[in-house]
Amino acid sequence: MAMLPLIVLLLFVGSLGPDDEALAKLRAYERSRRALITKLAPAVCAVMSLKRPGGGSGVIFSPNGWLLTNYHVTGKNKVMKIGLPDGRMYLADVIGIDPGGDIAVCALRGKGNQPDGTWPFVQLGHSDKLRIGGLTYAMGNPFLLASDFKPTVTIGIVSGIHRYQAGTGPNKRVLSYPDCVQVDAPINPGNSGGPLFDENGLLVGINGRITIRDRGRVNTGVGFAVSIAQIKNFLPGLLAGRHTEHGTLDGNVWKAPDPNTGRGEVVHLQSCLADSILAKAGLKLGDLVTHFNGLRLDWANQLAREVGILPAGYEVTLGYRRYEEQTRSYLPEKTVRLKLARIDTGSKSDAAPNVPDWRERPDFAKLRAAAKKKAATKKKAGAKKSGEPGKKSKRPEKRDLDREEHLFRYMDGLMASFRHKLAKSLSGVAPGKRTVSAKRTSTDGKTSSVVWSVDGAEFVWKDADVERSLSKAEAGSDVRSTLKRELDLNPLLSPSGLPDLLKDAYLEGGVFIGSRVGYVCALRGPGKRAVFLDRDGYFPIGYRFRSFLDEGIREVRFVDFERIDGRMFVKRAEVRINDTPRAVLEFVPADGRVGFVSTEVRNLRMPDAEVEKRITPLMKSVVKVHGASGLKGVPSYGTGLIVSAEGHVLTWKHVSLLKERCRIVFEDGGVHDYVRHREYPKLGITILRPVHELPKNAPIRPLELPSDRKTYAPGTAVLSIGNAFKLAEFTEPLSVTFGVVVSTVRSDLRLNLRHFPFKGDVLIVDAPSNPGTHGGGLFTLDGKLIGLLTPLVESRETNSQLSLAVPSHELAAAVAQATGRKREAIDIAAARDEDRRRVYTGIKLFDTGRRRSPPAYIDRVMPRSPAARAQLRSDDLVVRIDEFPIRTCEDLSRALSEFSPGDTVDVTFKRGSSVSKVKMKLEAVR
Amino acid sequence: MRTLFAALVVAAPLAAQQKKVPELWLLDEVVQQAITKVGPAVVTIETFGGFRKQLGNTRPRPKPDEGDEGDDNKKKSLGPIVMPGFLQAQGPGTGLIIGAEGWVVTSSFVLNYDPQTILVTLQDGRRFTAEVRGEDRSRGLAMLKVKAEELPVAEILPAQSIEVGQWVFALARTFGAKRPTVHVGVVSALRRISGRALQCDANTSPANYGGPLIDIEGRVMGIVSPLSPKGALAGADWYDSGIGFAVTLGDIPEILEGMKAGEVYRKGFLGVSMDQAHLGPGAKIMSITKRSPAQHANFRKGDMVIKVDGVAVKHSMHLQDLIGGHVAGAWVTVVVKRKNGDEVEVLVQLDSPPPPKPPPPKPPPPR
Repeated sequence: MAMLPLIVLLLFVGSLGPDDEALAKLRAYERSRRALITKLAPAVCAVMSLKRPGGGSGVIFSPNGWLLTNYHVTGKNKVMKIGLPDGRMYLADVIGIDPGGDIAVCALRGKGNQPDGTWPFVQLGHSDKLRIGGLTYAMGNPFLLASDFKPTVTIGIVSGIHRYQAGTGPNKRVLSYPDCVQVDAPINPGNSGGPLFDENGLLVGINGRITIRDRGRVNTGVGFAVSIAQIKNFLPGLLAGRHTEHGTLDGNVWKAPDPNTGRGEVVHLQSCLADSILAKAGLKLGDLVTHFNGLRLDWANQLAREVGILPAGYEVTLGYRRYEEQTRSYLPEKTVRLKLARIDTGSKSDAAPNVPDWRERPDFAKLRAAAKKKAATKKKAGAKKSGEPGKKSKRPEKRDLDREEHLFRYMDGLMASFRHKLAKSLSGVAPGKRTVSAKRTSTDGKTSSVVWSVDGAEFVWKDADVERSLSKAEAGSDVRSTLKRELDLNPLLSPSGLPDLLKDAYLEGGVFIGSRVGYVCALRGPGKRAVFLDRDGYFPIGYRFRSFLDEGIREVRFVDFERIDGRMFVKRAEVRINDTPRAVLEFVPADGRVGFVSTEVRNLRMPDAEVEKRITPLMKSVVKVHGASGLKGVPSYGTGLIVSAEGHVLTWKHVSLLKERCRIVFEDGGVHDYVRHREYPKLGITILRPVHELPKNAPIRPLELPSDRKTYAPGTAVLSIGNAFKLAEFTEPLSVTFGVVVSTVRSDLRLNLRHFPFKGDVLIVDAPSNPGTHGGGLFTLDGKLIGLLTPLVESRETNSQLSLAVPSHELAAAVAQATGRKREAIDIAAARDEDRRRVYTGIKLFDTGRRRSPPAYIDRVMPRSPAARAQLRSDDLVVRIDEFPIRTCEDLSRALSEFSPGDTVDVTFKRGSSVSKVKMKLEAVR
Repeated sequence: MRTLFAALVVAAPLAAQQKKVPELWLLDEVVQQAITKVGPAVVTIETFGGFRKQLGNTRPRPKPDEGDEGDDNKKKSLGPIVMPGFLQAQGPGTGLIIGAEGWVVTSSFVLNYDPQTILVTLQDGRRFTAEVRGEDRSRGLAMLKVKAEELPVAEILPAQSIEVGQWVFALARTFGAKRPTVHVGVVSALRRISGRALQCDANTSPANYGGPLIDIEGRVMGIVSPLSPKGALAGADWYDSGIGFAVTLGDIPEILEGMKAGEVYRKGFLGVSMDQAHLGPGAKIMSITKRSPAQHANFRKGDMVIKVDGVAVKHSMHLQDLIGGHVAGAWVTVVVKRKNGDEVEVLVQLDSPPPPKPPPPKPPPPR
């Protein structure tokens, strides 16, 4: 007996084939993913309200126990119940909320569940590095399935980036997703607030939204995550305990026909309020809006997206051009600086802040003692009055001391983490011998002179060093003395002393310098002193104090950095007094670099671009189709495939194309008028042609439709490309989803309650079809077209919806004919229109004629009929005609309608408890 | 403290070796091999006749074996399988051969019509009539028997070697194709639905209920079944949503044997509802169902359940898991702590839950 396992083992080894190498590699991928999940999962939590049922997910992003979730999960709650994968529940205070962007930050109470008292956490990643087709993992607690709080892990690819999803509520300003990541990893109700990780396990988004079909609130392959890039913009405010506000330009910028010249469509200012920031900055209606923060604007959506991810108060630049009537031309571009106004989300930001006033730290021991004393006296008084002695005080002003004290501890933790990061980045700055000089530029642009230099010491800004250096300075004495006085007044100029200073600091909010978001760490006490840290907290980007010299708030902002050898160096600083720019300090290196700071801590792994490489060329072959449906619930848009060099478009025959004309949008955003060219109703396809000849350089790449009947086995990996839910407009890339071929079968299908037009074998895939994907392409990973996506159909056999594609080889002849490449090509529609006379079998069924058709039991067999010749008898149960399963009498008549007189079919039937098969030759009805 | 911050700073540790072939390509190659291995054990199950069970339309399942009269449980109504709202078709379903002498396991969903005739079709085209032998209502499994010998049997993967993040293929033969259909996903979580099933993100739907969920080497992890924690097989309205369940076969050999012997298992029921505001440890009893095991065991409102079968109860949901993992009729030891601090240990026999009431209007689901 002992030999048996050995033999089995040998057999197994003997069967090692070439595919085992792939298996081993795949196992390696699985192992690394398992390691990744083991590392990440402990930080993924369930977030529940204390009172109401339901809840969502969240993710801890700091060892101090701060977690990110959706605002629509926390709502207006101040405390949430958190379930962690260790199986236990904890409490967390809601710190900051961002209703406009659907984000909330909470802080876990108490000591962490790790052995060293910290919390498990994940790292923030870089959503702007995501690529279409890259693998992502979504984690969370969909449908609150996890009673042990172990998260659900789902996998998918990035279907789209920089998607814009309007918000809800009045003016659609709450819970908007201006720049989100679209993934096909299943995201379901309850996943809200949970993390989206890239393939390296970095947090790239917070899952918060799905687009659903008529089936109800379940995933359909379209999920959205708030990008981490947007969250990082708001994080300083959120961590400071703010109700953060989104910025707005307070004006409508559209792409519409040029109001000045009437030629072409341009992005211009359509409307704005008279007292809006745009009007104040000097813009007028009809001005072209050309640039935003250095980004060229081709579409109005770009602006909405760019503004949507910025907080109110953020300083931005806007480029515009004005039309001049006299010269009938546009003036050269002008750039204005403006501060984004606050968007009106309808919720008051000052109402009941979640956090106490950080400036004064109360003496909690004292307060507690007082409260205890008060409660005791009240208990005495209350005992006389009622049976329930002072148990629940309904007085609203009662302070929750536990919560407050915890929040102060939270702030201490925040500062400790900044201190630690700063100390780390500064420790890398080794003393050395360098010459450094700085020159001062006034804001009018004229450089005055070189003002000071530091010699003989690495620029570490220790007061003593600077003092020593200043004495050696050769520059003008008045500026030097100003600087010296500033140094005297401003203790923050010493970076090595910074970590110590932060001991007594608290986070006030965010600051926006150039394109950089930073934290304002304010010091307690008078003088409004604060130090600004970069958005990861690793290096200072400025400081602020009340200057006694000029009786105002003096702010020094490091506006320009240079990164050399992984270190950040200050190049330029802006001096502001009372928020008005006064001067620019330029740091000019003599033989080295002026430096602060920071060993760059990012260790980026570029995401896998392999899939994207295959997808990018396909985008030139798949186009957006816009027709007109006029019917509620029926999309007026779809997708199409370019099948000829002249620009013929193959698409699904859809109600939106009933009108002769439609518009096709190419990859570059160009809109072209198309007209119906040919229709093949039995294939279910329409071929469109351009009304006007396409320009020579039109960005199209015609697809080849292979005519050989290659079948794709179940399991073949595929990408489906289509415009699901019209998420992509103009230049925006179409949605890409990953799936496999489920099966290639001829099945009983229903499309909008009618028969599915195409009768041959279809490809069933598990990459989801959605409204708008019809007419899109199904491709192998090598970029080969294998099918045309159809609308979502229903299977009569399962009553479930299926995503289908018609194999491309079935369409090849029709396309060749329509595009005129093959004159001799047969007319597929005509060829398929075979003999459709009704067939006769001689079987009389036991059909009651009730609504629900009964099983196909034979009641009687007519003599000398095909059935009689096939030796069928009464009481036999017909279960199959050829490959058509027959469950009801109705099924039988439908199956027979697929055959013509003269065909021979296999009839499978059950007699008693045995099943047999006979051949039956069908006759025509006489 | 210091090491932890270092971990924060040093970024993703996975920068190990740069792999050349992207994962999705490999998947393409491996899946065929796995299908070929399990394919012969995956069968089509067709049903004829019967009535669809729905709320308010319940009737006892006919006896799997004649002459087995004694058991009360079997006479009880089995309750609905599919929640209203999902209209089940009577199309074919899928099953998996787990015994060479004709044992086929499938999802109860496939037999929801109480069919008069059940037909099993093998990959090689052989067809057999089948009869239902046993059921596990708590897992949504049914055991069929066909009169055949030496059938191809699938290899079952031990439950403890399944891990989150593994690729899974959900096979089925519902559409009658020569090769099984396949849906791809990963293991999303283990021990869901009170430890009965694993969760995967492969699309599961009536097109593959009853079929096996296999790993990349073609070993069976479980049987795809429309489960949901709410009860019965309500999960069918979650079909194709990326939330799928497969009843893990590796850890229920006794249940499978019991089903072969004609047992019908139901979910265990204690009859307590919990104070959700109590975070734990322990679970605080809010109310007790009348004539339930909890009432017979003399549990009271305000009691704290601290241990079940020697396992310390973390919170109310944990208690539900511990109880729900048992089938009706099982004996469990429960330790409760009374308000006055006394700890009482009771041996309770679980009952099956009372028939569900029509669902109340839906509360706003979580987002």
